[in-house]
Amino acid sequence: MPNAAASKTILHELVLKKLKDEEVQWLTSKSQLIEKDELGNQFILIYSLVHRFILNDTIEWDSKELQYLIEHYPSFSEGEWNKQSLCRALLMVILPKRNSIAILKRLFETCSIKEQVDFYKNLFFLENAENFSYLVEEGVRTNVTDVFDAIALNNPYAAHFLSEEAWNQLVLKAIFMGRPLYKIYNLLERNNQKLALVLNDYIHERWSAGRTVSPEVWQLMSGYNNPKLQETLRKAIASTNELERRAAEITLEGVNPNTQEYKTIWVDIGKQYNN
Amino acid sequence: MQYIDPHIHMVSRTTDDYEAMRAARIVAIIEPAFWMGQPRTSVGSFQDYFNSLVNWERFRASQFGIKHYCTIGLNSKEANNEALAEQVMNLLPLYASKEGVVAIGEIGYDDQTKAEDKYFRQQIELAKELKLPIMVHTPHRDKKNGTIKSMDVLEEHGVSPSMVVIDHNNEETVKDVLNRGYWAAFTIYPNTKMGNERMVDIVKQYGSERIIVDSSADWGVSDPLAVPKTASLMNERGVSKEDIHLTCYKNALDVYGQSGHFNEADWLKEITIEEKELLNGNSVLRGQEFVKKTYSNIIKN
Repeated sequence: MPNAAASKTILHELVLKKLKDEEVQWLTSKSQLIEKDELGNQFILIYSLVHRFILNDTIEWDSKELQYLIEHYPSFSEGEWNKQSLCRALLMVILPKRNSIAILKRLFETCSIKEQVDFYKNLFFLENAENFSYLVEEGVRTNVTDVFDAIALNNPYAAHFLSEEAWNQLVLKAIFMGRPLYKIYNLLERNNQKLALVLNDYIHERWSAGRTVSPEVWQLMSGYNNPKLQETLRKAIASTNELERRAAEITLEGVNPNTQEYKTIWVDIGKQYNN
Repeated sequence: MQYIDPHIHMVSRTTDDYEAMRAARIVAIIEPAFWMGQPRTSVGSFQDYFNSLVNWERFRASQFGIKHYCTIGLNSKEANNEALAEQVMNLLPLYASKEGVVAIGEIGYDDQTKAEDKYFRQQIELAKELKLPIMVHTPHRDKKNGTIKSMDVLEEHGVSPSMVVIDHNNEETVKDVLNRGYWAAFTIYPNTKMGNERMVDIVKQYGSERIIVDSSADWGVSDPLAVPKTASLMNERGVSKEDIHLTCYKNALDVYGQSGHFNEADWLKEITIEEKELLNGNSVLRGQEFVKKTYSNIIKN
């Protein structure tokens, strides 16, 4: 776990550098209000107003900056970040910690789609990030694709802070929503037999209904010495879908799931399937 | 030709409506905050309703290639519950400041009570502070006086008529509204408001300057295709393409565009539907393409 307290300094330095003078001015004056405002009313309004005062441009980073950011936010470079998202991140980290749990909950309750997306992407930067796992669990139930993606894809929060039960729900929901699994941070590291068995049932349900299974699902079935899983994999080899068959074969080949080789294979399959 | 329906309550409509609207080339809609057919009893119900306007309903619309915007306001009927209205007024600035909120509305008079007047005025001030246009709901009963009173109050508060749409006009109100410089919207709503043959006559008589057609389709017997149907009828009856474009698209874009949140580029470039979210297929449908749909009895697995 990286030092989250340092996120504040790093965001402050890097983000302000990328803003125009008038944007820096706006953000600085509002930041002072937030630091003084105990109830958080100012914070909630300012978070919302970012769209009026900060342009929605994507930021270009040099390699040194990017390296810094990845140290504090693994998979940062994989996600899409714009100036508005990062300004909201900065607002969230400067919010005084003493009231932040209650204030961020109130913020969350009134968020529009984009505001919720930024909220979930930014939680990992917070010093007390672990306090918000219940909101992430709630967020996993959403059907709004952008919000779900903000939680599940290229975001280290879930892998770091969700319980096994909540993690499994996230992966299942991603599968049901047809989201690209290869973008889930630490997908294989957090995998567990319980999830593999639920997926086993899911696969049989799909087959009974005459539906196909995403080839990305098979990587989660590997590494467990369980006869039920082995049997399903052997059946999958007979699939008429080439990518599905190949995926099942790779799983049965028994490459150690903890290796980089195994990971790379599945990222490639994920890219092929989703693009 | 593409259309905008600048007044429609989608929370009450089905996905069939969205599909039909997109097939009829409606590309953008504005959903004004209104009442739900029965009075709300707590501020939390308002909060959840406002959340659905800036959140869930936007997502629903996006699945069908329609860009969804909204207006935020305390409607006149519910302004009469003052204890509740006070709490709603505290919520409004937060929602009104959000992206995609293109006006304060729909506000104005219903019974023309003192409480309605009080909150109408407070919300006019909020719109001025946030530099947002105003969408005015005119009453069903005593419509002409209610419409004139609304404009008097707006002038008292120093609002430029160019920032205000007076909605639910009819043959009796249109002249005053246009003469005083306001945008005049007409709601094509069967039985209680007006049918679209009357609308065609109005455009023939008054032209297309500052005139806007909308459906106000909601939980009552109403038609989410009112704008494209009226456009077709205008075309059949000899109204020029330019006048149709202005009344069924461009005028709404101009007046609500003054908010800074209602830009043609949003739907011309941005709209991409991933049909697989809906249909478990994997084709990608671009918003600006006309989609020819055929319906079968089979509901896809």
